[in-house]
Amino acid sequence: MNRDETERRERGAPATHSDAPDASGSDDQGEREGGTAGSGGRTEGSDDEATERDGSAPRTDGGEPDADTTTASGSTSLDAVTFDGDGRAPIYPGRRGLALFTCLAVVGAAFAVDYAAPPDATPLFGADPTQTDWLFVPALVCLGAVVVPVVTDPDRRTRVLETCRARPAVGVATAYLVAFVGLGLVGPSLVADVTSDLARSNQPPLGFTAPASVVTGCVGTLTDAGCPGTLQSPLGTNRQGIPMSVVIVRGMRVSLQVAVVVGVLVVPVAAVVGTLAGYVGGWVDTLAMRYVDVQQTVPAFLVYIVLTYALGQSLFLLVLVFGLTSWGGVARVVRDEVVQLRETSFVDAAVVHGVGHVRLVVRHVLPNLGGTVATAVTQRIPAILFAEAAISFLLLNDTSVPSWGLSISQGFRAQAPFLDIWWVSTVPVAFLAGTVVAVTVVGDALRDALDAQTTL
Amino acid sequence: MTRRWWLLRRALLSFVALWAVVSVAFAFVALTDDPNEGLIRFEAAQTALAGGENVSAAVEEALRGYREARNLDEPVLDRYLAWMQSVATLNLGVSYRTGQFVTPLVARRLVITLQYTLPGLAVAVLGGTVVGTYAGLEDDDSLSRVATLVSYTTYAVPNFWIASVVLSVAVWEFGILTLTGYELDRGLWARKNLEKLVLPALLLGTGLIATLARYVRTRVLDTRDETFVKVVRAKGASRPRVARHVLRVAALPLLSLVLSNLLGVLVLGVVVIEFVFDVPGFGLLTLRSVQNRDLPVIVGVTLVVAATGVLGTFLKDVATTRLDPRIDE
Repeated sequence: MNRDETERRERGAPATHSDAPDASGSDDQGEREGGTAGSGGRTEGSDDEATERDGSAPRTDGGEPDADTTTASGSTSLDAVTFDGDGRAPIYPGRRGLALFTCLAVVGAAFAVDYAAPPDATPLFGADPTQTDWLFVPALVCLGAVVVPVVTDPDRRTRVLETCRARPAVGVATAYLVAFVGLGLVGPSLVADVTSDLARSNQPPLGFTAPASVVTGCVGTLTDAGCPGTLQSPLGTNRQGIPMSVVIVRGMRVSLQVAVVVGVLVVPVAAVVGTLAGYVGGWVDTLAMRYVDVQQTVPAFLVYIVLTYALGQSLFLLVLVFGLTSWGGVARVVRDEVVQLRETSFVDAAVVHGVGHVRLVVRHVLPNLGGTVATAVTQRIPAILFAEAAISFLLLNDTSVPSWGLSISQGFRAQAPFLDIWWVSTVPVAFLAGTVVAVTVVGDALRDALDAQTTL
Repeated sequence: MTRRWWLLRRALLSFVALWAVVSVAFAFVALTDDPNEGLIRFEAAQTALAGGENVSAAVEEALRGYREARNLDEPVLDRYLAWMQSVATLNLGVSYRTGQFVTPLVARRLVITLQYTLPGLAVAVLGGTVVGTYAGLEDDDSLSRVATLVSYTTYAVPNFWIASVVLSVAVWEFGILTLTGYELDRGLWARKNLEKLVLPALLLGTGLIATLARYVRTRVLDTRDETFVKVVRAKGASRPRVARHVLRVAALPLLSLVLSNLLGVLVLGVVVIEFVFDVPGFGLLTLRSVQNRDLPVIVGVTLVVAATGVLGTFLKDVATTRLDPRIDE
């Protein structure tokens, strides 16, 4: 039994920190509890116990300390999740959980201030957040709650770095994603004052030339071959004369918003529904999974365009719809994992110790789902990025949102051959493809590392 | 539980699912403000102003006429029952825009879309299975690495860009103008129209190969180390034979995976491809109905997609009973 637990903990190690704040925050709590952790010696009869998982079941071995298990595991953090001998210690959030709640509360307060202020006032120090920003900022805070523990914990940091070293592709992909997030966050405000400059439109990228007919006001020296690209705009400019680098950075923010907000909306819904279905079982399970079936029969894209009929086109609606209708697959994966977790010996052990339902789920099941959820969500992000790009390409998104999809469509809408202004659509496609590949590679690495459900 | 009983229950649940989708569609139609009413108001006010009549009375009159024409003045329950009845008899009303009956309109456009999606899907399933199985079984092989790399790349490049590039290059560089220009008047099976569907079929199919290959590869990787595969290998079975054994076991999870993920990808892909190639199929109908705020058509296409999804789920259940003997227990 002890070996089982160790393995599970090792496989699901980052899991603890990528899921509920309660789980990651309870480390110090767990260390104190380590001393009273129960033994595995009582699991023989657990088959019967498992079937009648009654919260008021008698505690068989509650206060008995068992030093063997704790020392054998060799790691104090191990005990935080797997043992729960007392069954009574409160499950309140730890330091990190409090930090998360504080941050979310600050965001909530800022929202209240902004909402209460008159429409044209900017009470937030001149910032004027959009509807989407009000989803994006709390989503970022939640993402931070997942990433910060991995970065600050030396063990995890080493493991991530080792994986990156052993698999260069994963290293490159991770580096790209870090740059993507960084640029997406700060980039748009750095280039906020770049406006269209019709006297400098369709400049080719550095190292390429474009026919003079498509370029206005060639920055380089015009030759017979055409207008050469210059260092002033290394990626060229679009029809409005905005440098492609600026277009890319602004589009990064949009893609980042879509990915982060959708991810953060999907995780809690999928975790709650999947856990309920898998843990309670029976008709709850049937009902939840059949609902997921029905939900998956109506694609998010269709829901979005139907809702634009009544609510108008906006990025806010897009992320909301994709977030609230894309959790079905993740919930199914979570459910399968929970069904398997219920059979594990450490859950049996907890049941034997008389741990109640809520506590069992919060302390023993949820923390072990992190890896599964992270993998499943990561594997869905590419499709959502594509969908957003396609929707913008079809001009079904708010056309003032500087999405990569919109830029791609501009490369074809202009009355010029593709080959003459290829960079206008190809540069954003390259970045979109790079992002999708990076997310996929990191997602696959996560799956391999955590040995989670391989269901895509 | 016997298979038949299990299937019956699933069929029943499928009906419940359909009913739920239809009801949600009704709720959407009934509860959202009708954006067309604003237009009616505006037009009525304008004519009233031009004719020197009482503006507010004219607007009220126009709105009343509009609501009466669409039965919007009846109680909600009556409208709901009428709605269920008309959906059950496949009568979805007439298009606000063109006045055509929605059901035949959607059916006709659906045929065009199926004419190229079915061949495209066949290409995708065949190619995806071959590439994915090969990449999964021989993952140390250099050809397999290339296949994986190519499938990653083609997966990452959006097909609407590839389609647009192909079209733009063909038109501007080679002067080929025959790739687009589908004409409904020629009839659905006219040779000239079918020719226009070849490229959409190819692009849709090759775009899906990568996605399917990735699914298949993952599943094959999961299955290939099982004991029965080792036994088959040890008996000296040829590669295709091993692949057959692996695929038989991997088929079921693959099927449910593909079915639950494919519909969304396909709907978006169809809209985009038809938009680029200007094929007046199901996707373009969807796009135009949204652009024209043509509610009966919007509801019609949504119900078709939902019905396809429900039917697909049910067929998956049927396949489960065929492929997985454990269902009897």
